[in-house]
Amino acid sequence: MRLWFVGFLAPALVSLVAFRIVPTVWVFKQSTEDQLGNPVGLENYRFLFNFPFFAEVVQTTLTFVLVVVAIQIALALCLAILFTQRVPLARFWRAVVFVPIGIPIAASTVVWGAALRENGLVNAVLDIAGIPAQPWLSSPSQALFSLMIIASWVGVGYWMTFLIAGLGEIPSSLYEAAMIDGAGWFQLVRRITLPMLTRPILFVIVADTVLAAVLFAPIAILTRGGPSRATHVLMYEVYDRAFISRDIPLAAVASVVLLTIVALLVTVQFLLLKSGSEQR
Amino acid sequence: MSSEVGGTGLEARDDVRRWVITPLVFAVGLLWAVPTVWLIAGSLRPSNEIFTTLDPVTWQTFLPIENFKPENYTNVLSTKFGRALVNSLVISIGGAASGLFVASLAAFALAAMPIRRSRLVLGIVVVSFLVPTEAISFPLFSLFTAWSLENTYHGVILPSIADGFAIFLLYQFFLGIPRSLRDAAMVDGASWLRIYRSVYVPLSVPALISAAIIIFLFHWQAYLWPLLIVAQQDMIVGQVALAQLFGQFETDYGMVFAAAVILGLIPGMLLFYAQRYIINSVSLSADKE
Repeated sequence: MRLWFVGFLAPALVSLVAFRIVPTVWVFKQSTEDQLGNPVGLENYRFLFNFPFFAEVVQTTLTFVLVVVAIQIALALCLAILFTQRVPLARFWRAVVFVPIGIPIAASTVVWGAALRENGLVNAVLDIAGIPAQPWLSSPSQALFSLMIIASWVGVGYWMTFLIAGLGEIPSSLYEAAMIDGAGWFQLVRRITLPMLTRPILFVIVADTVLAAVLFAPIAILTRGGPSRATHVLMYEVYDRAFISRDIPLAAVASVVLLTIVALLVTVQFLLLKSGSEQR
Repeated sequence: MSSEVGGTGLEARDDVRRWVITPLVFAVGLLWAVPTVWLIAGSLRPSNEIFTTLDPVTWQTFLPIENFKPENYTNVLSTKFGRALVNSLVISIGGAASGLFVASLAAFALAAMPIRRSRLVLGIVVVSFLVPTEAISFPLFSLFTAWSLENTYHGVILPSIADGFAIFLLYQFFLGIPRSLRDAAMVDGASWLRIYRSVYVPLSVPALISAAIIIFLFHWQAYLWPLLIVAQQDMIVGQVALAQLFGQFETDYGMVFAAAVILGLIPGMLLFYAQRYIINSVSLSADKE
């Protein structure tokens, strides 16, 4: 039976080793070698960390990931609660928010690229409200935020789906019991909904963090890291070093830093949510 | 236990629902609907009018009645985007079929076979697949060029042939299948392969459909890897062709929007029909275990 077990798992395990573990180990190895493969210790790290822009790249990445995850999950949670209320057309509106998740990232990128132009849809709608036109993607101070809008248009609906599934699993008897005890609506959300949703919330936060950290298409298609490196995140640094300037050792260092940041963030999220749910 | 709309038991008061929540749902829905409607309208009008009709915004911004131009669709399909769309379909369908096979075998072994520490193996499998392939794309690229897999369909599919999320989803579903069925089959002398094929697979059709759709969408939405591993213009995927059309010196926005609608429509239809399936199967609650 052990043989059968291994046999059934073999395709998944082989691809796990060949396409995940081997390349990851290889990245770590390449980060300690020069272009020709000679070991140089931590020389590449020293070089890149002293590179004037690198601290900014890390900072931009952290800002992007933390803000985009916070916005998306908070919105997704609000929308999940909103769209499961008994209101007219709830099912229709839920589908409206849900369906963009099928639109591939390059497609939503070009649409939002057009919508965020000087004479695009967003400024035209703002004009109705009397708000002056904004430069969005062409401004160093607004470009990163513009990317967050693009990522969230798809992301919020996606994460909402998981949270709606989680909401449906909470037994309504819990709410009824709390209501008999005189709990108000916001108390129900805080005392019952949020604690019961810990697992799905943890899942969407972790998955969203990983995805946000490696967001690539909108940056490659719209900003190429600019303007003034405002959207130059680690993922773009990895791509830029590996495939544009063809400096594999430095690409490997950037990749190790990226993987480390993702691993740290995910660990912290696990610990925070775990201690949060134990306190209750 | 149901995920019916409005069936969660967390209900606001009637007056709050009528005067606060209903308008709020409407406003949020509108926020998502407006870009979508603008996209569809733009795909049906001449390129320059996409922006001139925004000044000012009227109902005509969202309804292309004058200068209706459905030819954007036939025009864009006759560029390299047409061929790229076929490539995307082949890759996504092939990827879903092969990925479903790999994931269902693995999930079956982990959920149905009484092996000690199978939960540990599951944990390792699922966590390892959290390693984002984008971050390790250049060593993968070296491997695949060394194996001469560039510019091939299987070269695009292979790195993500095993989907950790699909494995987890099927694992959870398989756990819900009564052990007694498995034991009865074993008494009849059925092999493990037979139990997989004749007991677990036929009983899991909805979960298998959800998993197939999730893997299909994954391949349909992949951008970086197909961009790297394919250089030959007749092998590029739809997303890359769209980005190339967009990046041209004079962008034909009518055609770009038509291509974006086509790329969104195919998974959109799939999701619309399977919405309930997916919502039911992505629940992560503990009581399914």
